Amino acid sequence: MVRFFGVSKTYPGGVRALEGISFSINKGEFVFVTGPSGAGKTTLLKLIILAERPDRGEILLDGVNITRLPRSRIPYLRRKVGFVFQDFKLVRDRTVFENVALPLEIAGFPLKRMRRRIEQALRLVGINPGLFGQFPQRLSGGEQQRVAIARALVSNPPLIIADEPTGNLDPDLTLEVMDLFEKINLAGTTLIVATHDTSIVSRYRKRTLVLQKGRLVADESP
Amino acid sequence: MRALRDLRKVRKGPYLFGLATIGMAFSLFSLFLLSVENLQRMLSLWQRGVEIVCYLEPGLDGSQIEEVLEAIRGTEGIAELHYLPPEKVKEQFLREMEGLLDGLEPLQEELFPPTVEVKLQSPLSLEGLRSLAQRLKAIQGVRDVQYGGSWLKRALDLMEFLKASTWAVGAVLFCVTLLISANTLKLVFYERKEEIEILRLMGATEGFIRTPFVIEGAIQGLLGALLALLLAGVLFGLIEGKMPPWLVPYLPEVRFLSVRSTLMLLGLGILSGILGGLLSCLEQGQ
Repeated sequence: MVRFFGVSKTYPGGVRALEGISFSINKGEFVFVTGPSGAGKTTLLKLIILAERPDRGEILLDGVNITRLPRSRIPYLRRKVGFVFQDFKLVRDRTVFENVALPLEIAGFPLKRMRRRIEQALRLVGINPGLFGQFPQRLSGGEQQRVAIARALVSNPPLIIADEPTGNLDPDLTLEVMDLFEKINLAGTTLIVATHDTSIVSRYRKRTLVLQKGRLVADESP
Repeated sequence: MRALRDLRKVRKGPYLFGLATIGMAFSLFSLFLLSVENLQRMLSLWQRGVEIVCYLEPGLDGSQIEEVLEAIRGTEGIAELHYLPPEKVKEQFLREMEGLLDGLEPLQEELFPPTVEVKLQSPLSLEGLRSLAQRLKAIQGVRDVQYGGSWLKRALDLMEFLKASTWAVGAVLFCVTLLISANTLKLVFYERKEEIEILRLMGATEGFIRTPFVIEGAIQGLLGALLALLLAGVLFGLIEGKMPPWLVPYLPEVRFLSVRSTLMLLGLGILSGILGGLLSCLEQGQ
């Protein structure tokens, strides 16, 4: 599903974020990317959706070399990937329902089928139908993250990536969200979760890529 | 639909300020257009009423005068003519000069040439009038022909100048409204920066992101132009009601903007909004 071949990335000012990273993630896998702050986890995820371009190396997504993908094709690449952020990134002046509808609107999904699909996604992540018409700021952190997950999976992408998805949540909500990811993965979606929380990594026992100072120092399977 | 929904979410302050400024800029343009249209209408009315006056040689007898009148009548473009013998010309002169000059009654009638007032079949251009006057002057027995050529030329030149000014002022106002539109929409763009980033991360194309801004620009431009028409209408009503009576005979048909100009103004409003929207998107994209 995702392949990195000797990928390096240095930010302007000479900040080296990644150095010679190579790995391969198969379809249906659940992979943690871990390491301390500044290890390059976020950069690695950004490279997958081409929010950043690598300086060296090649990246394959679903068999397609995306390294030199033209700018005009990037939106179509991103539609294949669901993204979950630490700060949820929900649009404040759109309701829960409208937020989840965004990926479908962008993909030009027929309006008639949209409603059912959105309701299914929201139910799957455990959002009460009473909250569908609410604005995100009225929801708790856990609810907001579940809405963000519903938005990531509503268009049924083959890959979901999550950047510190539990960083703003308390321990109970963290487990709720991680259980949800596991459920989604069991349904066949490939998942890459970046986290610095070692307790989650050890609890869920999944394949783990360990980054340190931009280098891949371990690729551990349970 | 998305643009209309987004429009409801726009912060009202900067949007209304932009709208008011566009409205003011376009109302200046519409008032200028209104003046030019009315001046043009007035000039065309005067042109339609242009009368050519032929002064005949003095001392022509009855049959000679009849021959001259026949020749004038036979000239192309003449609708009707009215012959005034010297005594009638003197009478008319004294009537027109009444109150201005006294003691003219003893003037000899022979001093006043027999005159023919000629009405045209249809309004002629300045060139057409000049050519007709030359043909009339060539008729034997006609000493001089007057048609107010120099006056008409000056009026037409003024009209041409005003027309050119309309477009120059229009171009400047159009650029101003364009920049106002672009700046207002830039503020809107900035306010929704986070939302736009999210949309981009979810795979929205630039077209998907920009279309609502362009539609919003078009709506803003249209509303601005409508506001301008409203302002111009109110001002027109006030001015029309306070027109001094002595001006009424010269401006018998003062009207508000024609349908063509109104549609043009609305079209320019929409166009300025669309261009403003595109300009703001372009700046943000960079």
